[in-house]
Amino acid sequence: MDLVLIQILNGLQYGLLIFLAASGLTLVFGILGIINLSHGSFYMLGAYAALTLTEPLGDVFRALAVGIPLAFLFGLAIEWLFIRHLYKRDHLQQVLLTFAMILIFNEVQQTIWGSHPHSIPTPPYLTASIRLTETLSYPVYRLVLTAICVALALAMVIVVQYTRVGRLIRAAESNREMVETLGFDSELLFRFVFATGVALAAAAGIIAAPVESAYPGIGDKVLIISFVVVVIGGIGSIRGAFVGALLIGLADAMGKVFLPSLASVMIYAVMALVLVLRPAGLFGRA
Amino acid sequence: MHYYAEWSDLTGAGHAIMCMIKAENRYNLLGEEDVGLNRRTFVSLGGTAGALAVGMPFIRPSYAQSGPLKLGVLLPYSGTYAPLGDAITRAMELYVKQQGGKLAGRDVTFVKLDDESAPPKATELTTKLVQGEKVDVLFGTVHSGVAMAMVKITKEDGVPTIIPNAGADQITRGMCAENVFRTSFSNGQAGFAVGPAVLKAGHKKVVTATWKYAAGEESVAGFKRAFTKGGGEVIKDITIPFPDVEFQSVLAEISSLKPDAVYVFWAGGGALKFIKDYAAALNGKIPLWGPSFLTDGVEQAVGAAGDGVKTVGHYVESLDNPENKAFVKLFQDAYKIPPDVYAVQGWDSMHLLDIGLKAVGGDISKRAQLNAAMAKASFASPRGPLRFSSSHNPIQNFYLRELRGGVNNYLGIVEKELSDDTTGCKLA
Amino acid sequence: MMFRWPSLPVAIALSVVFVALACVPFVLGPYAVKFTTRVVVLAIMVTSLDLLIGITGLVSFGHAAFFALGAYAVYFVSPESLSANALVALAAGAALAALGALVIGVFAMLTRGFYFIMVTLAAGQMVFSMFYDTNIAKGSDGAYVNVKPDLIVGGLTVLDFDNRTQFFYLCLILLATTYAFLLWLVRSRFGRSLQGIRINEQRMRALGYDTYTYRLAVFVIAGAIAGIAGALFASIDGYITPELASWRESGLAIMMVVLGGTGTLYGAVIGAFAYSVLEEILKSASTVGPFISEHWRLWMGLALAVAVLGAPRGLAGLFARKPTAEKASASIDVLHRDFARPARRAQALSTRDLTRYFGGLRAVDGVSLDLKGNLVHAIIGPNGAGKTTFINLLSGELKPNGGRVLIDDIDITGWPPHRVARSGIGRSFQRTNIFPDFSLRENCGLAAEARLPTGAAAERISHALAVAGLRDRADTTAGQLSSGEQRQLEIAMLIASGADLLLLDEPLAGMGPEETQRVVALLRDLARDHTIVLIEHDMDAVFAAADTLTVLVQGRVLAHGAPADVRGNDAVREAYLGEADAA
Repeated sequence: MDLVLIQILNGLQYGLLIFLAASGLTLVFGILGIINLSHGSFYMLGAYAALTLTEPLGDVFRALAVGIPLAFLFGLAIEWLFIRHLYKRDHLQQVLLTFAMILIFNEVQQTIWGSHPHSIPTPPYLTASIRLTETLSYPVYRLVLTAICVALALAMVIVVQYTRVGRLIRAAESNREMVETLGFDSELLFRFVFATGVALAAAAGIIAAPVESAYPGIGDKVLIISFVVVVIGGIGSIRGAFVGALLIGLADAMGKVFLPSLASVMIYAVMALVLVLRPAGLFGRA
Repeated sequence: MHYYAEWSDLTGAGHAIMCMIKAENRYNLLGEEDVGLNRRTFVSLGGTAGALAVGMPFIRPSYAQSGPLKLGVLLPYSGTYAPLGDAITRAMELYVKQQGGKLAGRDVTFVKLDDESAPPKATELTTKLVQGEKVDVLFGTVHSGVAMAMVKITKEDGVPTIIPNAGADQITRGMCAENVFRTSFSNGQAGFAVGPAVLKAGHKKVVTATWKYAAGEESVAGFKRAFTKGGGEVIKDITIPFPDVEFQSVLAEISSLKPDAVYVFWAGGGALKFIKDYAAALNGKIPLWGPSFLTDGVEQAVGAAGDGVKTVGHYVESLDNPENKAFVKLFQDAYKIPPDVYAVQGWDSMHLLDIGLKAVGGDISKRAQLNAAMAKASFASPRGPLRFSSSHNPIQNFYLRELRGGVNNYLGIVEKELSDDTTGCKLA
Repeated sequence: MMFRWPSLPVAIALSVVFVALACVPFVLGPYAVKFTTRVVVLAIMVTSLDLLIGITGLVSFGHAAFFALGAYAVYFVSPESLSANALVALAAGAALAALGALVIGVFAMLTRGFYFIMVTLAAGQMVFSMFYDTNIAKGSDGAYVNVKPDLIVGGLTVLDFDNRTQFFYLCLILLATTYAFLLWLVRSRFGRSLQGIRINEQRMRALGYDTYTYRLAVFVIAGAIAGIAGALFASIDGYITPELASWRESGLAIMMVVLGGTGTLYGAVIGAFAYSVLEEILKSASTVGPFISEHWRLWMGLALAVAVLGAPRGLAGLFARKPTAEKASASIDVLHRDFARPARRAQALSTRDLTRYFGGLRAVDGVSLDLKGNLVHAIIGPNGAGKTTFINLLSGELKPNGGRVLIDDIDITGWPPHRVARSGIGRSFQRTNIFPDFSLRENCGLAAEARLPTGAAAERISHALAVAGLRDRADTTAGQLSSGEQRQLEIAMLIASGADLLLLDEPLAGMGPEETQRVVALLRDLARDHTIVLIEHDMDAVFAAADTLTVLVQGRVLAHGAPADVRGNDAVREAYLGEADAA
């Protein structure tokens, strides 16, 4: 019984983390209509940014504070350099170009940080563990990590629901042509949304770094899981991404303990089931 | 009979491609009229250039027998096993350097490829080294799956192959070959050696955890064989997909099972993370055991989390023998870091080749004599005495070590001159 | 554009490349032979993917799964230390992959567009996980085929996969065979339907094609070909890993298709070679120097990025002929219309309490109508009155929440669109819904072939074009017609499909007065052997064309009867015509 409760905790924590990554993907997808295979690379770059920034700045939270604006700027640059050429192209070419970007980012990572796995220190004041059972303790940092994810999720809901930019984003998500016809600068909006997506992925990479560490290829898994989450939740739906991420987090945690040989199949089985019942995802429009 | 194209220079191909580019430009500039002729020119040039482009990567100068020895190296230089690949490479290069840059009087060049620890690429990369680069000897690799695929090809080809790490049991059991040698260990052998030590420490109920791949499963199987023979009980085998490093679920399960001790097989980055997560989750309540790969290379990085982790392995840095002392000093001077077991394996791999080459006077074409000399080799390694079983797997000592304060401390010999069984190997 | 034979220069270039490849074993060493074998096998797989992506418009991100299934099939049929029969091995590869494609396709075909991409990706990952995490075939370490397949007939070894040169030629022949087979398939009636599905699936359904089955069929065919390629791949080194099924491999295959140019088939072959050779060159330190080879991924990435941005139609696009501009003929000769055909009784359509909600909104609310045969029935009403929803309920695009739809006495309520179409209903859409890249004849061909054998179809096509007054322009590309002419083409397609009941959603929208007049005349004429239901805003045209008039307001029938009677109805005047007159 203890094991079930602990796995629920693990599942929620993992789910919230992938929500951060997936929310950026669903935004970019819902609004820009871009299939961004390089989304996982931004998560990876976040993890490595944590490695580089934690040392001089002191701890990973300061790295987060510096890393998010940096990632945002980086996102603006990438949008200008690559992505904006893709809006009028079909999905295939988006797949091709963003796949090429994965190759480039991987090489950049190899060149700058090398191929060795690196661990990123937990902030010294958060190294303690909380006792859960007689034998098992839960690291405080993981709880803090969960809290940060919840906070960022709430912040996102507030921005999307109650601010002008948020209204514009929602409007663009439901009817892009209309927003353009109304005279908004969709180019600017797109650039902003893409950079936000990059920043969210990088933020997830940074705060997860102390528990996940940084190693080459870390972005791949995040990418696939994020896509699964986006599809389950419905394209463009933040709420859907949230529910989808928790669903996947829990399915993964339970699968690992109770059906170890089928744990990874389980995630995709959940997705297939959702799609058969609701072909446009849980919160997507048909 | 095959003929090899020998191009004294490649400008021919280059010229054709330039023509193609020019033709294409002209076609674009000319627009729609008069397309016929230019298109035809373009297409035929394109065809020629295309055929040349296909051929280009295969056109290489051929080496005469008297040239330098070409040593192929297939090791991971990226991914979770990259540090292992680096350590092995450094020691191999150091050995050659210490011999004055020559082996048995012949110059040496290295051709290195990164295998990324990815079995799917293994056959392609091995073929590239063996048939494409035509290396004289092949060294590799770390990942067992990659090594299996590699050996399958070199067995067919006959190129002398020395494995400086990968422990896949099969390589020195059913799949053994005249030309395939291993200077490290077999997974089963290394796991087997841990069993008696855990029993001796008084643990009866053990949980094992590893990645779900051959190396992990063989290691656990070896451990179980020794451990249950001595009266111990393994209450659960936990596996996670390779190379996952999210261990939270594993730890939750271990804590709910409350065993006397835990036997794990991880290496490289995974080992580092597991030791840290384990300490944070279980607070030293359940002793952690494993083969030496668990702590090798990560002694410093794990910090205090690693204190008390016990491992059994075929090398300890503080081993008191002259070869080891000399080796540690040499390595430390060259690279400013202490060597680890992987470095020792790399060093011994080159040492073994050196012995073989000397026996044939540097003539690499005498493969049978070279193989025979290497099979009979027996020498003093930094790890202690080293010789080889009939299936070319090392016969070596295993030592008990405890990690404390960033150092693996020597606690004594567990098994003396332990040999792995050679089930299925037809070499006598 | 409808798939064309490769142009002469391309055909010549392909032959040259084929001959050049055939020479590889004589000119280059064993490594090159092995490398080329691998690329040839990849090319087979990638070509089959182009059948899905470029021809049918199904972007499958899980194609590598079928490649892997084919490869594992060889492992499954190979005894531990004996060789499997080569034909059995290849057949097993095709069969296992086809089975996998069938199982996955049954679900995947329910989805479209991006969701299809993701579902196939997930399916591929499931196959990957199945092999990676379980022990059905040695798990993550990969499986070995210890002795490669061969074929021994009467003690004579006819085929030995262990013989590199022989195996290379086998692969090369299979690549040529695959290409020839796909050329034939794509040009066949089935292939033309696939292209129709790519360009306009909704239309194809309305024409009576069971598009689900067509898509599923092509998915299985492509899967089987990929399976054969996989079986060949497994025989190169006798080593199979789960990673063959992973999303990266599927991504690479897509990359090769796009790089080469989609929808040409030979582009996929070019893509496979261009990608593999470029990668091989960039990775070879002895050719390009260590600086490039150590960072080959960077250069590969940059090269691909340049290729996407610089050659949007892929490498094949550089060879392809430019679309020639056809001159639009001045006008359509109305006199060429075929008036000589005999009148024929057409089916009647009726509804009983037909109802459909959207959330709380009753878009169609208890509509009962009897629409008799051989008449033109017009349905009018203000915007949002539920006219299009009503048509969608009749054609099966939407399922009703209540009530029934009957053709003569057959209850067709709840039938899928293609089945409704087959029972005699043809429809046009509010937005023009043709295949702009196809010629007029090809457009009508797709319509006719939904229900007729090719020979009979040809006759029907000329008949339809003649009736619609488009006979002289049969070989014009549809996209070059004026919007009025495109409407005529839609009607011609409906006639060609053999539909008895025509549902036309605003057929006069965007037409000038002359065109309107022409189409009205056409409708009157069609009523001799069809029943027509028409939604229209142009009141003059409605009164000129219609035999009965139905007024829908807020999903309910406000009035129904002869046009003159309805025009005289006070309620209608007030609710609808009054407003319209005032506007």
